Amino acid sequence: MNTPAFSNQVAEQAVHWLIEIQGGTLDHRQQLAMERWLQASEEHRQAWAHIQRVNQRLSGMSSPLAHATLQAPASASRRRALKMLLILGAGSAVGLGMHASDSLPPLLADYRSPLGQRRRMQLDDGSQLQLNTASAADVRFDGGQRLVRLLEGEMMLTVAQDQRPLRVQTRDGLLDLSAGRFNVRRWASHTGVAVFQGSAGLAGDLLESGHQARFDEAGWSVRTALDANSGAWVDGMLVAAHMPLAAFLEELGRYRRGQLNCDAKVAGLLVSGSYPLADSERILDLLEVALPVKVRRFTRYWVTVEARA
Amino acid sequence: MRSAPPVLSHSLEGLYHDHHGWLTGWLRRRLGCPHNAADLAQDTFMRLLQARETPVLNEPRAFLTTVAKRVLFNHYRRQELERAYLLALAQLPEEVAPSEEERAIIFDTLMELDRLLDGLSAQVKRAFLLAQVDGLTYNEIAAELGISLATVKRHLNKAAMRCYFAL
Repeated sequence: MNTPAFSNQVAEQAVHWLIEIQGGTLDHRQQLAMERWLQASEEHRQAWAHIQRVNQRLSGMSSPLAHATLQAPASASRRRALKMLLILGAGSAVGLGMHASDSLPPLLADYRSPLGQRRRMQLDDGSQLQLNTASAADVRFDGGQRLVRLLEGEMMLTVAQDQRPLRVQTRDGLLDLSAGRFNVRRWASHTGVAVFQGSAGLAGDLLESGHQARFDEAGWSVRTALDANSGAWVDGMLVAAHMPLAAFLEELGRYRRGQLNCDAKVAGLLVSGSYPLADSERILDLLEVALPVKVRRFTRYWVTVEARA
Repeated sequence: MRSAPPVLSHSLEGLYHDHHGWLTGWLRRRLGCPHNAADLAQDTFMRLLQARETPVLNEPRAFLTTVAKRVLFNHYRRQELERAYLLALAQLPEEVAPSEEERAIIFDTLMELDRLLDGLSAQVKRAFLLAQVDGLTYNEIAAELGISLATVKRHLNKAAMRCYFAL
């Protein structure tokens, strides 16, 4: 996982070992001490694995690009902006939400997709990984296992047959997948899984083909038959079958920049139909035709859907 | 700053309604570009949205400009990085230049790295890149930067805490 928050102490120890090992001056006694440290706790191992992962990413980076970009000189405009900030001091607003994320950035992930775009990747074993909008995943294959970590967003995984097990890890737990086709999505407090083919196991408890469910630390919950919208994004579609408008707009909002609001008065209206995600403005226009709503655009990034007067 | 009208609503939507146009104007005067001003005004409200709690606002416009200044600052930084990045890209020989798709991802990664390492000296950043991107030994880094081995280690330690653990 890319997201556990490590304690300061563990972070310091891990960095200490990194600096010593890279210095190449570790004697036999110190090597043993390092191994003992690794074996002492799962948090140690995760912190170490995290460093390795970031380093792997950094070492594959173009050296001239990295040096030139990070040494970019401060422009006069930014110096002026900085001065303004300092004059204002550390007012409450500066601290407010500026460090909204308490987890490590998924930016150093192997695969990412930008907002509003999908990406498709072929993996070494013949499996296929597709990322939906604003998503990130790490892929680690070795002799013993195939591991895919979903760090952010949503992916469709078409798993090829192989002797090694294929596991998917999210913040909520570890899945064992058979060969088949699976949609996995991270929600705020759980992970959603849809099985189109094959089966997904969670600590031995199987979710079979044709079903979807969510899971968290407590295991599976809300098992149902596949719904029409599961995985429709792969074909660039948003499919609604009696979906409440608020939920529909929340889905649509994942593919757009800015804020898409829903007035409480119309939140419960039901939406049905297949909508092409490529043109979300047109979907909003269609809503005005299909439902008694009006789309108010304050700016192109702040849109509210409300009752038609 | 001229006196602002009283706050009509404490919700973010109210804040948006009442002050969005004004904030866009404020940003436009600083940027001299209406298109960017609209984007940055949006970013400012997005930040407030992500903070989840709207504070009690006696001085909404003072509050908004404080947040907007931070947004403006990041905007300038992004421009600087982009300029340096494109310049370096233009100088790369064709055969080692990244593909169109890789370019955006490398730039995103560098933006993130820049944010994590923000505030560290140029020498600390350079030592870190030489170690982790170029794979130089500590002796080579010391020679390259003209500093002692102990300083190299201290630099790397500082940068590593930021880069791996945001500490």
